[in-house]
Order: sequence, then structure tokens, then C-alpha cells
Amino acid sequence: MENMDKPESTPKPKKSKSKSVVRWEALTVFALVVSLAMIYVVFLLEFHLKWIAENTAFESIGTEVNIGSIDIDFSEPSIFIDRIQMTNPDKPEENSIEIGKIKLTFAYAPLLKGSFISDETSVLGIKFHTKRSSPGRVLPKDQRVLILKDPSRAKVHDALRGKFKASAFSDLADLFKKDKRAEIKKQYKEKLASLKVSEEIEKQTKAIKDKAKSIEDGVSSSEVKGLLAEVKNFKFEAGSTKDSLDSAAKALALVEKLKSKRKEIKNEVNSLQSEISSLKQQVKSAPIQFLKDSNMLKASLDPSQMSPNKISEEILSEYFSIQLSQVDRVTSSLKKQALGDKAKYVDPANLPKSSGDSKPTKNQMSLEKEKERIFKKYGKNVVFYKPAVFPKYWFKKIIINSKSSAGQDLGDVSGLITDFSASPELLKNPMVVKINGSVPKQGIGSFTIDSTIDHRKIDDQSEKISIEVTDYLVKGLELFEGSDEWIKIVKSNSSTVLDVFLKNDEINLELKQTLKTPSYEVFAEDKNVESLMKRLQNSGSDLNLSLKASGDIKKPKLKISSNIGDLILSIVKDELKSQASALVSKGLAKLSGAAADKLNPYLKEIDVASLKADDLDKIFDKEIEQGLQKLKQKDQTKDLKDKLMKKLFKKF
Amino acid sequence: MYFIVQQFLSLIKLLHSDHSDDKIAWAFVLGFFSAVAPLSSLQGVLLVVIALIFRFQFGAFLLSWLLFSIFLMPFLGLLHSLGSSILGVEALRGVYTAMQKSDLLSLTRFNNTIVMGGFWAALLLSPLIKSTKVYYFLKSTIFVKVYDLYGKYGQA
Repeated sequence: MENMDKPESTPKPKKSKSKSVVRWEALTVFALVVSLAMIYVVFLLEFHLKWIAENTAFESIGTEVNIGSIDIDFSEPSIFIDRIQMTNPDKPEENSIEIGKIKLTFAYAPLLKGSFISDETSVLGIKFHTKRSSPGRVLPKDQRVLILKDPSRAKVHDALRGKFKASAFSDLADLFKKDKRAEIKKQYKEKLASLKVSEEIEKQTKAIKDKAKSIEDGVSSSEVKGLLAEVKNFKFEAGSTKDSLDSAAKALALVEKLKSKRKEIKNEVNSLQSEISSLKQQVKSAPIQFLKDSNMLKASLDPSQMSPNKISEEILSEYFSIQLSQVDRVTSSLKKQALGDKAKYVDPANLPKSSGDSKPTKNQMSLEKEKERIFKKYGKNVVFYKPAVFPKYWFKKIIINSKSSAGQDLGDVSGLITDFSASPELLKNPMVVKINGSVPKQGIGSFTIDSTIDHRKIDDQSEKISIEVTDYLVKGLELFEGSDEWIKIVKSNSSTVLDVFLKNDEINLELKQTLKTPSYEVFAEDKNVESLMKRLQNSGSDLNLSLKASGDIKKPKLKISSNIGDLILSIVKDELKSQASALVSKGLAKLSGAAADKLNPYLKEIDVASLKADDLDKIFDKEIEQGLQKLKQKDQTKDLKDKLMKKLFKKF
Repeated sequence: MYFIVQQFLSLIKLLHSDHSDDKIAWAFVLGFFSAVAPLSSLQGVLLVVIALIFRFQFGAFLLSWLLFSIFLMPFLGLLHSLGSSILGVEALRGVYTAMQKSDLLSLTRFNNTIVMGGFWAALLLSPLIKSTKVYYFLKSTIFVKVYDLYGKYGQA
């Protein structure tokens, strides 16, 4: 009971567990995050950077780029990059360039502002065309071109190519194309068959034919035949004296008539022959004109219309448009690099201010309103002190030094790049690049790059680039690539001088390239054109190419010149001349033959073997001599007869 | 999203529980400061870190941040004027210059008129916010009633 009386012990209220003001679990998580970040920085950052750099480079240029290692020294802030290899897109088993080591120092303070500033960067051990341990990845050419191609500029380049699309070779190919050739042959045949090789020749032929006809009409063969027969068959008729005399007079008249006709024929034939030889001379001396007159020569192939410069433009336009697009790509990427870090936020305080006391215009008022609206929305940044603004990146000095020692094939490359930055407008000096060197073992005699890139003022920028490369080996250079033909320089020692001055969008460019005794590889669908192009091989002269561009970069005025124009022109001229000459000879042979055909029947009748006037003369002379001889005999007989008659009369 | 919903529900639960009034009130004050400080500024980051590390009601912090951000929108012009006046005090010009020269303090973006005006507005109004206990106002809102209804149905 006692127990029952005992009040039941009430359970003690649970003492709520007092929680600390600090969330330790959150701090633990925070510490864990910081630890992970540190682990990442210490152990993984370098690999991550290497991976990012390699992938970014591949995506940018379309060929594999390998980096040996990246080491970051945080105690003396500097980065070491070992062995950078860039795959040669044309030969994936070798590198186009290999850099032994890059060392760059940087400052921590600017990093807090998101800026990377390097006081000094050293680039050491540059090699070209080194062997790779395994072939590098290379994107197909078309994809690489797309990567490198700035779409905004692509139209400009296409327009450039389009401008020079037609070429002398394609026209020449047209001339020789099978169907065309058949057509032309047909035309030739038709023309030759009707002796209408050209309008000029046709006229002359007609005149000759008319003359031949007039000769025939004037002295019909039957008449002459009759005359000759009479002369030949003349026999002294010792009949009545009167008859004898009449007969003799008739014979003499016939001979006179024959003599006169002989003269007439002789003159006609002489005239005909002199006309033929004059025509021959005329056509032989101007076969191109002949082809042109006969509508067998395209205007674009007319040497009188073909200037060497025009040919050079047609052949080299594609090549130079690629060169120009490369220059444009470099300069536009320089511009992009310079403007890449443009401030996104424009401080309204920097907007144009309304001018002093003058009454604000409507625009100025609206501008003030706009400024006020922006201030009320985003606030106004009051400037008490202009802090140092850091560019996104700034390499103050990049020293390139790569001297070869005995037994090494590094080549000698040295140079200095100053003030390479993303925000040149923040710097005092323009970016200057001066690099020179020689890598003879890699086929580069010497090179010099001297550039000044001035992007300090956004609205007034200029780039001056001078590059000179001498004695470098050119292999497989596509000089001209048409739809059915191409010309490739298989191998040549080359020298190039490039001077570019770009001020905003105004370009002034001069590119000169010399290819020493190049060996050509040519191809043409049409084998005639191909054989023609192969004659370039025998020209044996250096090839000088020159491009001048000026004016607006989007529509530059181009001036292409080269001695390839002269070479091609002379080859085309020779070819056309030989073509024309052959045609002319053929035509004239037929022409002469036709004239002879007309005359021969007549001439044969008087035993004339050929058209030659001299021979004809001799034959005529002989014939006439014989006739005269007979007449003399006739006269002698007459005299004897007369004497006898007188004696008889005396007797009577 | 789930986290935000969860935090919001826990806030309603907390308000309903009539518990930790002080912590909730402080969370509201922190939220108010965050609403006027840009997240990219030094104080913006610090406020979030404080709310995470110290035992404030995080849901209340987020809610007040959101509500005050919306609430202050029509008053940005006013904050700009206030900030302009404060930054225009000639006597403090030397201080401001020193602050802007300092790498650390310049990260506070104090030289922006709205940031400066907002900061002073928050500083002046925070005791009011804490004492008037805004959360009592929220307690009477539909959110808690919905929660109550949910609770009844839940028990049934």
C-alpha cells in the first residue's frame, strides 16, 4: 500500500540537447571541399590543364597537339611546359613544329582579378618536321578548313575565287574537247570542202575560181583544140595560088590568135599564182588572225586579247586567294584576340555627356533619361581612384632562343615578342614581334618576321607584318586547280617576301614569291591540253609570282602578276600557230589543187604538164615554132611556085 | 528544387512550432542584407557562408532573400539616391579612396550607389525587421494554414 501511496515518479522531461551556434557539420563539409580543391590543385590541376590545352588546340587547328608535361611552381610562381608537338597535317607521322620547353613566370595578385600576367616567357628548343612516336590525329582537310575558316570571311574568299573562275586552260580544253573537236573537225572539213576556210579566203577563192572560169570561157578548150589542130595539121595545099595564099593567111591568123590567147593565159596564170602566193604569205604570217577570222578561236584564247597578267590572274587567283585568306585569317584572329576581353558592362558614366550650357537636344535629353534609368536599375559606380586594370592575359616579354649545337638539328631561331596581350588598349606600347632564324636541315634557309600590331585604340587599329623566308623547299604546291585541270609544283626552292599593312579595314599587301626552276606536275582531262601544259616543264625558268592587294579588306583591289603568264602565252601562241599553220597549209594545198583542177583539163589539151607559166611558155613557143616552120616551108614553096610561074609566063 | 521545397516546408513547420524565434528573425535580417548585396561581391559571399556555417534557419534566410529582393525593386531609385548622398560626402572621400585602393575592400563594390544605399538601408532597418518579427506576419499567412490543414488530414 505504502508503495501504492507513493506518488508515481513522473518521468523527467527530456532535456533538450543544446545545439551549438556553429554548424560544425557544415564546417566539416566546407573543410572537405577545401581539401578536395587542394588535392585537385596539387595532384590533378597539371593533368587537367594539359588535357584542356591539348583538346583546345586540336579543336582549334584540327591537328593533334601533344604536351609532354605541365609543371606549376607555386612557391616562385612559374609554369614549365615541356615538349609541345604539333602534328603536321600533311604528314601525320611527323610534327610541323616541336617546342622543347616553355618557361613562364606569373604574378599572383592579378590572378585575383582574373588576369594572367607573365613578366618573362622563354621558349627554347624549337624544331621543325621532327618524327613522332605515333602518327597524330588529323581532321580531314575539309573539316580543318571549316575550323580555320572564319565564316564571315568565307564569302569574301569565295567571291575572290569566283571572280577568277574562268581560265585560259578550260577554254583551251573546250577547244580540244572530244565533242568540240569533232565539231571543229567537221567545220574544218566543211570549210575546206567548199574552200570556205574563211570569209577572206572564200572571197579570194571565189575570185580565183571566177578567173579560172573566165579563162576557160574565154578560150574554150574546143576552140583552142581546133586552133592547135589546124596549126598542127596545116599542110601546104599546092592547089591554086589563091587557095594556097588564103590557106596560109588563115594559118597565120590562127597562129596570131593562138599567140594572143597564149599571152592572155600566161597573164591569167601568172596573176593567179601571184595571188595564191600572196594569200599564202598573208595567212602564214598571221595564222592567229586567220583562226580568229574563221571563228575557230575563242576570244579568251586570242593572243591579241590575252595579256600575260590576265593569264597569271586566271591561273594564280585561287592560289593567291588562299594566301590572302591566310593573311586575313591571321589579322582577323589578331583583331579578335585584341577585342576578346571587351568589357561587357559599360559604365553609364562613360556615356557621352551633354555639352555644357547649350540647350540639350532631344537626343541628348533621351540619353540623359536613359542614363538615369540605368543608374536607378544598376546603380552608378562612383570612381574615387582609378585602379590598375589588368588585361585578361599579358605576356610582357617572350624570349625565343633556340640555338643549335653540333650534332643537333634544332636550327637557329631567336626573337623577342613584347606586350602580347588580350587588352592592348590598357598597354602603353603596341605588340612587337621580331623573330629570325634559319633551319637549313629542315629546308628553310632563313626567315625573318618583323611585325607591329597596334590595337591600343579600338577605333584606330593597325597591323604591320613583314615576313621574309628564303631558300625553303616547296613540295606539292597546288598552283592551279580547275575543274578539269591542275598544275602542281612538285618541288622547288622558294623565297617569299610578304609585306602587309592593315589599318582598320584598309589593306595594303605585297606578296612576292620566287620558285626556282620548279618541276611541274600537270593534269588535264583533255590530253591535248595536258601535253600543252607539260611544255611548262621545258621552260626551265624561275617562276615569279606577285600579288598586290589594296583597299577595303572585304573587297580588295588585286593585282596579280607573274611570268607564268608569259610562259603560258608563248605556249598557247606556239600551239595555235602550229594548229593554224597546219590548217592553212591544208587549205591552201586544196585551194591550189582546186585551181589547178580547173586549169588542168585545158592545159593538158595543149600538153602542158603543170601550171607553171614558164613551162607553158616553152610549150607554146615550141608549138608556135613548129607552126611557123611549116609556114616558112609553105612560103618557100610559094616562092618556088612563083618563080616557076614567072618562067612559064615568060615562055608564054 | 527538392531542397528548396524541403527548406520551405521546414520553415513552415518551424514557424508553426513556435520555436527558435530569434534564429528565424536573424535569418530574416541576413536575407535582407543579402537582397541588397550583389552575390558577386565580397559581402554577398560572406553572408551566404555565415548563413551556412552558423545555425540560422536557412529556409528563412532564402525566403527573406527572395521576398526582399522582390520588395526592394520599386525602391532601387531611392537606394540609388541614398547611396549617391552617402558616397557624395566630401569628408569621407579619403576613406572611400583608401577603400577603393584596397584590393580586398574594393571587392565589396561599395562605390556602387545602389550597393552603398542598400547596405545602409539594411543596416538601419534590420533592428526593425528583427523586433517586429516578420515571421509572425508569415505565421498568419496562407502557407501555415495550408500546413495546418495538411497536418489534420495527415493525422486522420
